[in-house]
Amino acid sequence: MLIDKLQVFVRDRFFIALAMCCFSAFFFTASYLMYKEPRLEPDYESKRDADMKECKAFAEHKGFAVTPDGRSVMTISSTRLDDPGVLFATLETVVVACRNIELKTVCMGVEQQCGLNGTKMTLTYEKPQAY
Amino acid sequence: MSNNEIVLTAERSEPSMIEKGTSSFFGRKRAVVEHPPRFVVIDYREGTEKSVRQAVKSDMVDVSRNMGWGKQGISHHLVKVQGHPKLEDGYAYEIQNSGDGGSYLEDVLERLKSPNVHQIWIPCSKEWAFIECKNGRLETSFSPLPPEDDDVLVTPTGKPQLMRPLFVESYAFFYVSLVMLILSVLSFPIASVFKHVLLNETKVMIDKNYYTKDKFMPISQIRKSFDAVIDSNTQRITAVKYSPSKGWSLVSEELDGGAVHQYEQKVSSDGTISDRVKIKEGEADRPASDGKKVSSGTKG
Repeated sequence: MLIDKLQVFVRDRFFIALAMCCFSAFFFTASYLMYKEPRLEPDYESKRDADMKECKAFAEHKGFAVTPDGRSVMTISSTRLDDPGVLFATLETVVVACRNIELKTVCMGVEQQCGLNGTKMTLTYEKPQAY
Repeated sequence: MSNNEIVLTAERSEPSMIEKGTSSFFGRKRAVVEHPPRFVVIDYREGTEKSVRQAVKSDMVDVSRNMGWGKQGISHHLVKVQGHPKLEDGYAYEIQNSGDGGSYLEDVLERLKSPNVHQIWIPCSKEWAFIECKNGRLETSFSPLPPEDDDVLVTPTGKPQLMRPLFVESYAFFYVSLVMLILSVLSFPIASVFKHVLLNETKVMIDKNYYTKDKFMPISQIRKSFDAVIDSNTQRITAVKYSPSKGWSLVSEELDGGAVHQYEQKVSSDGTISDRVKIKEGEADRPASDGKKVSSGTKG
């Protein structure tokens, strides 16, 4: 039995009230964030996997060897060096065709400079914007 | 009378007003003016069970109501009595009306341990309260007359600040917090239903083109550079490179006497090619005059 039925939490009322304020702030903040960003986040991972897969297929179609390095990086290489101008144009089509892909490194030349006699290009996947 | 007992003079002095620093919330000091309470009641109930403790709490409320003190300025203090020579184990409590927050209870119980002490006087603002310990019970009475010379008197100074309000009416913060909590707990599922059920839309992803002007492959410039050295017996282009920090660059080799020097030229986004910068110097691995075009290695 309490001292008085209206005297609940007589000693700890301040701390209980403070705790309730904290919980309220948490729930209000969570609710506010849900109202502020009402739309759900897209599945970035599926999108990345699909884009990388398409990019790989296109690069292979253009005659390049594709080596994935993790889930967001791929290396495209070729040992052809017959016509650098045409090769560059082909590389450019790959970069343009691949979605959300950023060009990181390109090296076309001899083994001492590029690690192989041919062409090597590294591409990284960047998260697309969502709104 | 024992040596540590206080002898009251016949004259009844005015309540002493002594400022005493005492800690409150967060260790802050607040000044307390010590003064006798208007009334003080000390009582006791035998038994250490939880039900006895609850009964003692009810007793405190009953005493306060029976005395007609109202709810304002009533404070209480409850202690568990154990191993007292005159009292069985149980709960003793003290209620004060308009006290200064200091408690007499511990002092009274301690003094009652003395075999010669059975009665203790406490000065109140208008009367005198005397606590009697008889047959294992505590009783509080009030007297308008002062104690005798050999009576034991507890002074109002130096008391520990242990009294707590018996009735608390300042519940505004508590109730406001409670209402806020209820509202916030309600708002959360409403927001959740709105987001996941009523709206239930996923953000649209926009593909971004990272192949911008500063990264365009300088195909025409590279072709021109290749064309410039295609007939040279002493110079050849060994690599075309790109990195985010350096941009596009051409690496070339040139035979100078017996030595092969390596040069680098930067190709800017507007198509201009910088002057050659020597990056490496070495020995020639084959003579330049062997009749072959050195640039044919890159040309393919």
